[in-house]
Formats: sequence, structure tokens, C-alpha cells
Amino acid sequence: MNWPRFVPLVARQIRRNPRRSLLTFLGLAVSFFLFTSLKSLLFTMSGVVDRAGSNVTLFMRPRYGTPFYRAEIPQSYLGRIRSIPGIAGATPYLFFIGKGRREGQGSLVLGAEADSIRKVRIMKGVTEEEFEAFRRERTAAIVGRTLMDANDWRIGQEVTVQGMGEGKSVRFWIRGDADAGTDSNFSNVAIVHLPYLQEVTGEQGRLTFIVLKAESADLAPAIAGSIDDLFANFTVPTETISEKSFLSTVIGGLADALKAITIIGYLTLAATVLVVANTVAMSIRERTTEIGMLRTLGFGKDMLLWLVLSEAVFLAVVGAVAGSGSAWGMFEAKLIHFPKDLGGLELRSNLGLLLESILLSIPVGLLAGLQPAWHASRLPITEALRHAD
Amino acid sequence: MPAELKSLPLVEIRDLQKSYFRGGEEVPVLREIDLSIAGGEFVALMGPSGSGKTTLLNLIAGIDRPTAGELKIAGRSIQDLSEKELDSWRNRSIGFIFQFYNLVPVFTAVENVELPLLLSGLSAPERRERAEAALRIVGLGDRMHHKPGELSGGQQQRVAIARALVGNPTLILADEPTGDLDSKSAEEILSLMESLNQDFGKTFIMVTHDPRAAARARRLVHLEKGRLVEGGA
Amino acid sequence: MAIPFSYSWRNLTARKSSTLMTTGGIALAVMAFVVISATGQSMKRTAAVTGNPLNVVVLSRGGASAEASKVPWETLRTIQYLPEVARGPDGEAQASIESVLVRAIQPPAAPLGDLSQGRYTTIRGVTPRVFSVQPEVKIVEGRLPSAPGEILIGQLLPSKLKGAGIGAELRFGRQKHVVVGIFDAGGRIFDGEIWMGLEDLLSEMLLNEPSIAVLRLREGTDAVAFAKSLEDSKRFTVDAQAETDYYAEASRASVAFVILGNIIGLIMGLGAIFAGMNTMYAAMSRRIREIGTLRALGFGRWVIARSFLIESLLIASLGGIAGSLVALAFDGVGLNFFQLAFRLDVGAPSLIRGAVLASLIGLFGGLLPARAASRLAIVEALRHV
Repeated sequence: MNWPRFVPLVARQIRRNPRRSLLTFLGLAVSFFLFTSLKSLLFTMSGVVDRAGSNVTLFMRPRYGTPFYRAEIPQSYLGRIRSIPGIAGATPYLFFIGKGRREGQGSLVLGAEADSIRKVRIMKGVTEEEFEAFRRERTAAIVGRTLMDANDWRIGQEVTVQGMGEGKSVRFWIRGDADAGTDSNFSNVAIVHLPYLQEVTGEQGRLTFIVLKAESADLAPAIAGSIDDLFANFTVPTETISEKSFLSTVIGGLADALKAITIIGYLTLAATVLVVANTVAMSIRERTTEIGMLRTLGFGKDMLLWLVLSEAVFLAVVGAVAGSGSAWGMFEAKLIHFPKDLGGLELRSNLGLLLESILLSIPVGLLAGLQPAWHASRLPITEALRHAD
Repeated sequence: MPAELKSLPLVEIRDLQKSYFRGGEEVPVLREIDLSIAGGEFVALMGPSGSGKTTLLNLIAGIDRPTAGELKIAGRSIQDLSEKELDSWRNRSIGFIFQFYNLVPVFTAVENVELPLLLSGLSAPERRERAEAALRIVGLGDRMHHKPGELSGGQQQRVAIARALVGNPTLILADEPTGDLDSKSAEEILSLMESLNQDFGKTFIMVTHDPRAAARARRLVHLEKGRLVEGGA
Repeated sequence: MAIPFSYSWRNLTARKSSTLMTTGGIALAVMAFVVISATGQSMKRTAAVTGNPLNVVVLSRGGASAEASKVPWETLRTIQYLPEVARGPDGEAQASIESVLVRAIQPPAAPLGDLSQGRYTTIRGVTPRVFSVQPEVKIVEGRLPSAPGEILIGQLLPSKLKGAGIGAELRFGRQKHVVVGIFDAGGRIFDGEIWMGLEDLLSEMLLNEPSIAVLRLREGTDAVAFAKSLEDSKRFTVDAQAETDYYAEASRASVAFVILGNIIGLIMGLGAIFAGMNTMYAAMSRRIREIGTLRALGFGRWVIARSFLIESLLIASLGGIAGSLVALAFDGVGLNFFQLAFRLDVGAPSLIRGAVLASLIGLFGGLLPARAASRLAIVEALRHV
């Protein structure tokens, strides 16, 4: 195919009316910026489930009663769980909800077991040295980056977190930090030693929940079932679900919001089609005699159709590369995250999303160019040559 | 042009009719046109406005279709060609010069001249070489990379002539080629066409209402109210 | 001399497809903006109408929300007989003791075991007293529960949990629950909740204490001051908030929607401004000679500029009206945000915001082309081909 020779005939049209090209480019760039940003927002939120949510990891919490963060599981359950075959690891947590630096902001302190936590959870961004330092010291803590930043804490600092309720408080020394971000399990919490937290809160023997890891995803449902059967007649019956189901439900609460964001994203593209269609139509109308000339020189109808369509697609792709590219760059550079009081979730994008947006600009251009291209190619030559505008 | 073709008429028109339909009513523009033009001729088509001279030119160029009659060019009946055949026929056989030059403003002179060659199988260097040669012939060897906006009207029309020449067509058609030029530039353009006709043996059919332009032609064909009035002046 | 308004209008109708496409782009931007800001407004409004100025919510000390609160029975019993609390015709205190839980509930239509379809829903254990503090809540279908396992649902719940209606079974806790009635809470938060007997819920969920008490105060009592006095009182260790304040805080998530709406509106508006500018510049170049003629006839620069601005504003208004009409089609749609269920109310505030956005698009899209048109030199404009 010898199409490259026609490239200048398409691309050079941009210079014909630089102001219009610039305005169209800006309009397109803005739309694709918005589209990719919204897509990234969706990606971030659903990504919480898809990337962090595992079918192998199970959460065990009390079946009935108070919200899970106030749950009371007897610590004795842990030993019984560990003896169930098919479980690769189980690690207990005790929650302590403290006050944050600002009014209404919380700081979650997790009492955890240093010996078992890394068998079940990945501590992203925690170095071997940091973890060793934590393990050796009774009052040490590893704190997520997001929480550190929210409170202006530093490694090495001594921190006291006041409880939300009955005047309790926890004091600890920060010895390491976990990564921020959605794929980090501990970005917004402080991890301290379980026995230490139980002691200072006077909650010896109590756990809030237990995280388990099955040897394989196939075993997970059966394991969940046998755990819940085991404790069915105990004082605190349990409910064990996979991390994925748990997070799916969280995202389920956002289902309408996610749907709305998706719709708005595509509405933006629809608006873009109209904008580009208008530009191409205006440009073609002004070039009617040139189209007559090209037809006279022997350019066929189909050729004209493709030339105009390519022009529309070219515009759209250039706009998309700029707009989507800058949105992608902005998220990749981690310039944007949710407000801290909405979880401080860091917005993410990925190359696939960028590619998808840019690929979508092709149908956008085709749709936009269809009417003007059809019109241009069907115009009788003599009429086109007579045209004055 | 091969010698054996020279004796045969290059353009043979038999009983050509062209009508437009306006509001369901037939408006005849050309009637009973019989015309024969030999290779190497320089014909001026003259007539008052509305006489149908541009329509006749358009029919010969294959950018308009006759209502009836026969139109044979270089032995080929072009009224029977399909639209696609007609497109490529035009590309290979016809060079067209417009009154308002119709150059692409965002292309340089040489790129404008290359335009018809884009449809040929020629490689990029071959196209460029031919376009440059055509520009040299029209005397614009030193203006190849100027854009139309940087050229005078006369120079722009020369570029257009080079574009008409570049594909080595059988027939060059010109629609009021001097209509938009001052008299000095018009003279230069006419001289150029004359020399292309004499030195390169190019066949020209030119629509004009300018007597000075007509004077350069070797044959005058008059049209009045859609009918041919051969000879004339 | 003024150019008649009809001049601008005629020019728009003269180039229909261009006007239509620009209008369409603006309409989509305005529509998206109106719908998102209406979402924020509706969430806020749902929370705002729920709070009654005479009601006070009593929670345990440090319990940030009802779900996290646990108040001992004795405290609740004592508090409800405080003199500020209103009395019903039967002499009983108008106080509702409630247990509040949020659970992921499967829609009745969802296959068993597929936990991913669960939707967070508030389950409120109540006594008949609830109707004395929330008198606006009315049963509109079915009846009150009379046996354990029978529940009421708010009118918006079916839009959240597919298949929830009278006779439907909802699974949570230790048993199946049959819906025996649907209530209308008049746009209050309760419209998206499940209500059931307090004792039933406590025993089923193995709980010993309820979560909160809602007190209806005597006419003329200052709820904020009363709440403050409860918190300061040495007798009780509780938190208390005027119900209006309590639900205003609960609508904090709506702030995110307002911010998101503004950002999206701003970006889409910006895109629409570029599109409008393109259209208006094209309109100007097509009419250069005409502008020269008008100027030669004695129309001033400002008059020309104004006619272009009017044209641009007209396009934007058409887009704004079209966008608002489409947005209005979404009025009343049931939406959920975690446990909050609400109806989308495309009301005046969001429509006004949409109109402001459309006007800004028209103004900024038309400003530069209008200026350019007014600055054309008469002689050159007349010579223009």
C-alpha cells in the first residue's frame, strides 16, 4: 500500500487554519484528559478489588453483632484455626481507633503478630532492617506512608495516639514505614505488637479479626466453611469470607458512583465527536473548490472519503495523545490523590488505559468525519469547482 | 505522441447534448455539438457567458457527463467509462488549468505539482524529479519551495500549468487561465502555453472570453446559446 | 444603531448543522454537570431533611457513628425520662431506643453464596416508639411486623436490592427475614433502610445493648443546648448531638460529589468553550464582507461585537436548555452510595448551576471572536472574497 504518500495531504491541513486547529486540539485534549482521568478513577477504585483482593486470603470476623472493627474474637480461636489443614498461615489483629491530627480524622492502630504477619500479608515498602528493628522492640511501630504524611510523623519519632473513646491512648516509636498506595495493605495504619496493644488497652485475649491464607484458592471456600462450622456453637460464631468478596462489597457500595463516572466518561467522548465533526465540516466547507480540483486531477470518491476521514482521525488521535497522555502522566507522577478524609486513596493509571483512550480516539474521529467525508466525496465535481465561500 | 495518432482526431465529438434539470424542467445547455480536434492543436473556445463553453470543457475533461451523444478522446469513448475508470483516465490523460489556479495553500510549489503523481505508481524520488522538471519548464526552477501565498498570480498559474503538465497528459484543458491575471502576467502565461504547444506538441483547449488570449490560439471555436459556430473570427 | 436580535438568531438557523453540533456538545457538558451536582445536592438534602430540629441522638462516648455506638440500657432508661423529653398522649416518653447495624445484604434475586452482590444496608432495630420521634414515617404497603423474622423496608430499598418487596426474603444474621411492610419516610435516610423489632435484632445478632436513643424534645427546647448539657453531665458518659447536626455530618461524602462535579463541569466547560470559539470564529470569517457592509452602513464596533456575543450566548443557551431537559429526565432515579439510598432530585439549585455554566461557555466562547469581528478594518473587510 502506498498510503504514506498521502500523509502530507492529510496532516498539512492542520496548518491551513492554525487557530481553528489549535482550538480543536485544545477541545480534544481537554476531553480526552477528562476521559482518561475518569477511567483512572474507575481503575483505582475497582483496582482495589482486582489487585489487592485475593481469593486465597480469607477474613474471619464475628458473624453477628457490632461492626467488624469493634468485634471481639477470643484469642483462643487462633490456635484452633492454625490446626485446620490447608491453611498456610493465620495472623491476628486487634484494632484501636485513635484520633488523628485534625478534628474528625482517625488514626487506625493495628495490633499485629510479628511472627506470623508476613506469612499472610505482604508489607510493601518495609525493609528487612526496618522489620527487624520492629520485631526487637516491644513498643515499636511500622506506620503506613499515608498516615505518616497525614500526621507529619517521621521514622524514629515517639507518637501517642489518643483513643476515640474512653480516654485510652497508645504510645509507640516509629521504626519503619509501609508504602502508600492502593496495593499496599498498610498504607493508612500504624502496626504495633499485639501483646503490647492488648496490654495498654486492657483487652488481653481479645482479637478484632483474623486474616488467613489458604494453601490454594480452590481450598479457600472449604476452609472458610469448616472454620465457620467449627465455631458455630461457640460464644462468638464466625463468618469467614475471601478478601475479594469483602472488597467487592465495599466497591458494591460505590456501584452507582462508578456507573455514573463511566457514563460521564463516554458522554465526554460523545461531545468530542460533535466538536470534531463541526471542525471537520467547517474545514471541508471552506475547501470545497480544492475537493473539486482533486477530483479533477483524478482523485476518486473513495480516496476523498478516506482523506477526510483520515484527517478527522488524525485530529482526534493527536488530541487524545496529548490529553490522555497528560492525564496518564499526572497520575503516574502521583500528583493527585483523594482528600485525606476520604481515605487518601492515591489515583492510579496504567499504560493499558492510556492505550485504550488513544485507540478510542480512532472511532471518535471516524464518527466525527463520517458526515463531512461523505458530503465531500459525493459532491458533483462541477458544483464543487463553482463553489464560493 | 506517436506519429500514427497524429493524423487521427484526438477529440471526436458527435451530436453531443447536455441539459440541466431545474425544477423538473429541462434546460438545454449544449445541443448537437459536432467537433473534431487533432493532436497538437491549440483551440480557443469562445462565446458569451452562458453559451456553454465551460460545460463543453468540463465534458471533455470528464468531470461532467453528457446527456446524449458521443465523446471520443484518443479513440476512447469516455461517456461509457465507469466513474472509477473515468477518475484514473482523467489522472493519466487530462491536465487541467483553472482560472483561480486552485493550488493547495499549505503545499509548496513542487508539492502542488506532485499532486497528480500521488495516484501513479511512481516512487517518491521519481515524483519529485518529474515535478521539478515540470517547474523548470514553466520557468519556476528557483521557486520550487515557495508556498502559493509567497508567489504572484502569474507564478501561481505557472505552478498550475506545471501541475497540468507533470503527468504528461494527452490533452491540456484550461478554463479562463488568464481571467484572474493582469495583462503582463496574462501575456507571459499565454506565451508559455504557446511554447508548450509548439515546442512540446501539447494539445490545448482553452476557454476564454479574452480576445488577446484567443489571438494566440491556432483555431477558434465559437459557441452561442449552446450551439457551435465554427470558424468565427 | 442596534442590530436586531433576529439578526443573531437568523445567522444561527442559517448554518444549522454547525449550530446543532456546537449546541449538542454544550448540552452534553451541561447535562453531566447538572446531574453530578444534583447528586451531591440530593445526598445533602436527604441528610438535611432527615434531621428534625426537636430530636437529639444519644450515642456512647467516643462512638463516632450509630453503628459503632453501644449505650447501656440503664443509661437509656434514665435519659428518656429527663424533663426536656416530650411526652406522648399516653404519658410515655417520646424516645426511640434503636440498634443500628450496617450489613452487606444480598438481593433476594442473587444466587446463594455469591457474596459479591451484597450491598451495604442499614438495619435498624426499633420499637413502636420510633413513630413518635419520626412521625413522618408511614407504612404505605403491608403491615407492621408482628413476629420475629418479620421486617419493614424503606421505599427506596427495592431500587438497591433487586427483588426486595412484600413477601421477599432477605438473608442476614441467623435467619431469613420476610418483608411484611414498606414504609415511606418522605425522602429521609430511612427510605433506604431495613427496620425490624429491636429485641428481635438484638437477640439474633447476639447483642446485649442497643446503639442509640433518639429523643423528641418538648416544643421550644433548644436541641443543641440540650445535647451539650447531656455531654457535660456527670451523670452519663454519653455523646449527644442534635439530630440535624448528626445527619449533616453523615452527608460528608456528598462533598466529594460536589467537588468532583465542579471539576468535571469545569473541564467539560473548558472543552465546550473551545468548541464554541471555533464555531464563532468560523461564523465571523464567513461574514467578513457582511461585517464590512454593516460597518459602512454606520453600525459601530460595539454593536458588531455585541451581535456576535449574543449569537454565542444564544448557542450556549440552547445547549444549556437541551442539557437541562435531558438532566431532568433523570429526576427521581434511585441511587445508592454505600448505605445511603436517595432519589436524584434535579432541582432548581443544580439547574441554576447548569445555566451559569452554559452562560460562561457562551460568554468566553464568544468573547474573542466578537472582539476580532469588531476590529475588522472596514475597507479590507469590504474587499474580502
